[in-house]
Amino acid sequence: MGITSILNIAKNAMLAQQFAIQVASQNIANVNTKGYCRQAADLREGPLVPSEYGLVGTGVAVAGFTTYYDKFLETAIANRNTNLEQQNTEATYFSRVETVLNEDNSHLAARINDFFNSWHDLSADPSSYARRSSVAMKGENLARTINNLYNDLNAIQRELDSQVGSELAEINRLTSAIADLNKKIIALGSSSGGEEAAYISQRAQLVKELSGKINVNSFEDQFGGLTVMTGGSNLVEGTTSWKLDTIQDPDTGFRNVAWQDDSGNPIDITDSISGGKLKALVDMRDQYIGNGFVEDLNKLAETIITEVNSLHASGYNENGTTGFAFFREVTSDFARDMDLSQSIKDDVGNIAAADAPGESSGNDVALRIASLIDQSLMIGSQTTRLTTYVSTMMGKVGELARNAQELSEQQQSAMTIMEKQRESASGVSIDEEMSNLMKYQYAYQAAARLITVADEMFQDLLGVIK
Amino acid sequence: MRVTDSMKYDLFMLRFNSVKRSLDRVQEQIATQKKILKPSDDPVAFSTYVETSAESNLYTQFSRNAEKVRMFGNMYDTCFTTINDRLAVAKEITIAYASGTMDASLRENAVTQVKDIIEHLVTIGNTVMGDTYIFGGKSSNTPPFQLNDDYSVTFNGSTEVSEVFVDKNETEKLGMSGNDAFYSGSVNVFETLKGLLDTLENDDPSQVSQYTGAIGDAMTLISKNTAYNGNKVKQMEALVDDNKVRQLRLSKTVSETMDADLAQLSAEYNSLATVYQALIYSMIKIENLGILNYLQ
Repeated sequence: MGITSILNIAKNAMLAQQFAIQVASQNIANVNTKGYCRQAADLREGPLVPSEYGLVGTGVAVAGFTTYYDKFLETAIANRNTNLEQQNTEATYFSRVETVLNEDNSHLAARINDFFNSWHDLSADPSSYARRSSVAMKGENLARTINNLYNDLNAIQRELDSQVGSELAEINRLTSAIADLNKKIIALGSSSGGEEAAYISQRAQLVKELSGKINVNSFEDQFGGLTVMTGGSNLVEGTTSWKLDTIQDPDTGFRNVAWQDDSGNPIDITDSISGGKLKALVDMRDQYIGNGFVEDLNKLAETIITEVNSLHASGYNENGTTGFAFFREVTSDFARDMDLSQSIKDDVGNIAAADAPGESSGNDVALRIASLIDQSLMIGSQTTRLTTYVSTMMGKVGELARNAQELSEQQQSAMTIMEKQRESASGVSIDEEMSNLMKYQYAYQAAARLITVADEMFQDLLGVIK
Repeated sequence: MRVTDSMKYDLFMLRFNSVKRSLDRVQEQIATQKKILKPSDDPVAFSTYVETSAESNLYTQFSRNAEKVRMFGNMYDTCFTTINDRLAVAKEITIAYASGTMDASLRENAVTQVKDIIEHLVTIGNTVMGDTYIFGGKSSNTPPFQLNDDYSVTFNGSTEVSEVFVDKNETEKLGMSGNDAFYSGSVNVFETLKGLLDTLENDDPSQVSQYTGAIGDAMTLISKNTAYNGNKVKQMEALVDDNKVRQLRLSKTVSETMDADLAQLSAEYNSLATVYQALIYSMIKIENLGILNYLQ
């Protein structure tokens, strides 16, 4: 044991404290980084060496660093994120559909009322040209209202469809990044002294992001590589990632999700997607809007067109001519194509109010059409009144939007609790890091002082020799 | 449990956004004076609001139709009163002629008067309201009565009358056909007057007695029509009043469903504003408690 060993101990101590300060700095720098796991320097007592008095210490050594990462919690968070993103997306789009259909914005029920009331007015004054013009105008207003609703819903559908494509590109980017990280982790192995933990935490963050987009299962292999699957299809295995692509649905023309097998053949996996933003986008596009509200609107338009035309065609216009359709005859996409017939557009005198040719001012047909507003009609598979059908539609969208909002809030609360648990274990506290900084700084200063002391001892010794 | 900076910030943002959302919502409710702003606020209530509004709209239409029937009724009333007055004059002429006190000059005068009466009644029969000949029945866009050269009158209108809905599943005739107004069974107002005219022109007092009774019958027919019409006007007035009551009830339902209680909302707004301020204040205070502030 000599003065040199004191210098060595001081030097090692300074390097160790410096390393610890570096780790604390890294934590402080990442205090706001999402998914970052705090680290702590592992300082160990230096090896003991024999002396004439027994084994003595050689100071401090850096054994590496610890990353505070809870694998199980991260997996649970990733799974929760699947539900959260699905509900958030549904809540967002239901809210938009609700805004479109809201009676205060769409005035659908009001337009239906106005249209049939105009027939009431015509029935009270069948020979009035002004009343006929009003019927045609209200009919056109109703058709435009339904057209606009269809177009607005269809625009949301197209936007959802476009989002499916964007999300798939994001999913491919994430799976590729996970495969890259797998490669680094596998290359480092388990003897990296904690270095691989940073990659693992980055990978966990990517898996969480991926889980928000599509339902995934993941498990680690013996080499530390993560296998990620959706349904039964591999997305990542070791250092390989599989791409998702779009294929056109032959019926709707919208994008379906395809998984490319090893030979690059696309396999439609749309129906096997059970969660995440992608599921919400596809469900909203096809189930809730396409087969839901657009279809409801189509049935409503079809019923109005069919019922009004059927009565109107049996009536006689001002000149005693019969057989005119009031609305344009359409066989599909009723809501999109609803419009007045050309004969009514050409001359409102073709509006048939009478049920006999000699009655120039007869109103029986007008009365029958007017009374449709208060009759139970077959709309789709329901027998109900037109305004009841519309109010049910409003109630339905309200219920779905409310439910989606509530589920989204529930998922958010659950996620907040889990994030809190994660933060508690892995998050950075500035107060804690500042305390550590002070602790290591004092230790560094003390070690530096040791060098001064050792130096003075050397000087004293050299002074004796001189 | 360790409390990190992110936990403090995330929790603050969560609560902050939640309070801000509630504040915005209350503010919008106050501005629109509605407690339900969109279907998802209360799907059942919103659905009821849409249906109740439609129902109210329908009753407004029924009232408008009933009002139209009433207006027509008033017009008929004026017509019937005039017809009755003119028939009374015809009856006086008949009585005067039957009494034998009418010389040639007076008879000539009476002929002119009866012609005037026929012309006047034809004019009344062709009364127009808006674009509608009110005695035309279902052919109301052409004059229903045609005065011929010999002062006989031809009815060209429809014997059927248009109806309008004045309530659910309840229709009311929109006026009266000239056929019902001037002809009934053996009573024919114009034929009676034409007969009287012919008798006066031919100076045949032996025939006049039958016209005294016939004009009486015609006046009875007009009186019946007046009474029928009066009853209908009253019915329509009652119906319009009933509909007003129904609409009030429906408006009340809509109001109870949709309208906001401003006092309650103001209290809620103040409470939320206090929470909002307290939240910001507490966050600033907590941030000041950091160890960094002691190191500076």
